[in-house]
Amino acid sequence: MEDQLYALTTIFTEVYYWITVVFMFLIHVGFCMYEVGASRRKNMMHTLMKNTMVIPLVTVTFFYFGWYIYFGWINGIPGIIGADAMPYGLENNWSQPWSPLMGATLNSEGDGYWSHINGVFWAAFLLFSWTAASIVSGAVIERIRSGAFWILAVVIGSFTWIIDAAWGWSPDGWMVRVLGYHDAYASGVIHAIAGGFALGVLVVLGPRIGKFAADGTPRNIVPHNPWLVTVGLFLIYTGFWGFYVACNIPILDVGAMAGMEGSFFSTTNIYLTPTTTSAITFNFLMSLSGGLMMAYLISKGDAFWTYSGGLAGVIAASSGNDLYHPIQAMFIAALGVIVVYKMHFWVERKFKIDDAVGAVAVHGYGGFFGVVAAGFMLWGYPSSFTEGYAAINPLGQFIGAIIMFFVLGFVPAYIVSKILNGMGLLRIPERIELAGLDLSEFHDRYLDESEVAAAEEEEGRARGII
Amino acid sequence: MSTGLTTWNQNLAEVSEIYPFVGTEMILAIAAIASWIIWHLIQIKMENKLIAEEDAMYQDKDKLNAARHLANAESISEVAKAHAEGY
Repeated sequence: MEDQLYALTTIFTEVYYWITVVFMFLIHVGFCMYEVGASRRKNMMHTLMKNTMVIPLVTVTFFYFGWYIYFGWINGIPGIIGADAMPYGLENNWSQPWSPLMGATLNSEGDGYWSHINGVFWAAFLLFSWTAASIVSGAVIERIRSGAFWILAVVIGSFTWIIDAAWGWSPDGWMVRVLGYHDAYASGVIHAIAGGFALGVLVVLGPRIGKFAADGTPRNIVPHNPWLVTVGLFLIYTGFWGFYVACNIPILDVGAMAGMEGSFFSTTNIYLTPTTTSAITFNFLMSLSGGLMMAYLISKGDAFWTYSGGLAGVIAASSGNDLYHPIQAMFIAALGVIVVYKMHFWVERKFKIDDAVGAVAVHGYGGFFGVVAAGFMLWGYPSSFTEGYAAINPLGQFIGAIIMFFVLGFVPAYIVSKILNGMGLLRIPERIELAGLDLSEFHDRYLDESEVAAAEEEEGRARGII
Repeated sequence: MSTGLTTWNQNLAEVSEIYPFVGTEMILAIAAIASWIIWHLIQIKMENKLIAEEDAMYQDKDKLNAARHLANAESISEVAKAHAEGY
């Protein structure tokens, strides 16, 4: 790049996304700690490895086809929905796995912008992919087979969520154009879809042994380490800062898009409409606070639900947190938490759904609520700079939430889980579930520890030390 | 012999790819996608074997009970106690 200002803008954007990736890595660390803490001792290693291996498997598949879907499928699914589902066709050369721009390049067609941005932008989306898969991971602990989960993780992490991003989280997606869909910080495109996906798996997977009494009353399976759960949730909160700013484009000249004669530089959301980092900082913290305060009251001070409520509050306000007033964000978060809390226990009792960490509620119902709430709060706002696009409206948001939660979340998960179950690959056999999923590895570790402790004592006595 | 770049002393505004073996990207992509599918197949085969072995072992109720005691033990002393009790 020969122009210094252009280079500064480009490299600033490059570093900006790189930092978001580092922050978002903490979300995955947090989910791992949370899940391990929430599991029982006999299942810790299995739980940890199940979510750890999401990292490589979703990464490579997002490289192979996820990134291409984002740019390629904005109008539907090629050959199935949408006549021009691939508007960029094979010219979409910054996201094909064999494209030079998917590697180290200095310029492409005489311009350095995508050479610098492609990798970090891809990684920012990839970390959303991990999050989507990780949300599902927590719900299904202590009885799902790792191999089955990893296939399901690729389905949501590199396929279905990125389809919803192409449709509803892109300046040109058909949902934005036709429905006026607006979901700035991914209430629907990450949380509702992941919650719906988790529910689809759980329906087929079934509850853990002992979760429900004979009369259907749910039992509380207590986390083996509540402190690890706490630290995990704090890390998820921390990573969410990265998640929020990764949903923005840090600096863009929107003047031309607005029809101005001169330039107007602004931060924008993913739809390229303006917001500010200050606005989303206000709203993130106020919605977190609204969620925590309401969750504390409604759960009567239960620590697990208070922490989860903070997360649910942010998720419930995320669709419109680029535009809300902070106090609006706080009240929407509080309302969302009531929905999440009540729905969780109603669904658990009514349908015997064993969601080990409340992921379906916090992410699924919270995200669904968030998308619908934005339809009312932002009714009539333009969804885009582009003339002819539908304005944001309640019906469009409601249809959008259905697409996220059910069409791209629940349904694919249910179908793939049914297939895996039919092949005998979905669930751990009962005897092993009772003994513990850590299998012989954990058993042997205890025997080793016991043997070494006995040997230490024997040698210590022989030397007269103890 | 060169696998790609031979000099930095050129008009960098015209330099595109800087990784070696330019032109092999499609072959790399095919190999990578194949390796991903093979990974899942190997993993499922390994998991099937391990689960079958463990499930067969736990047909013996004494072994299953022993495993349950050990798996839920919270300390080495509890493990020792479980051993002392014959688990």
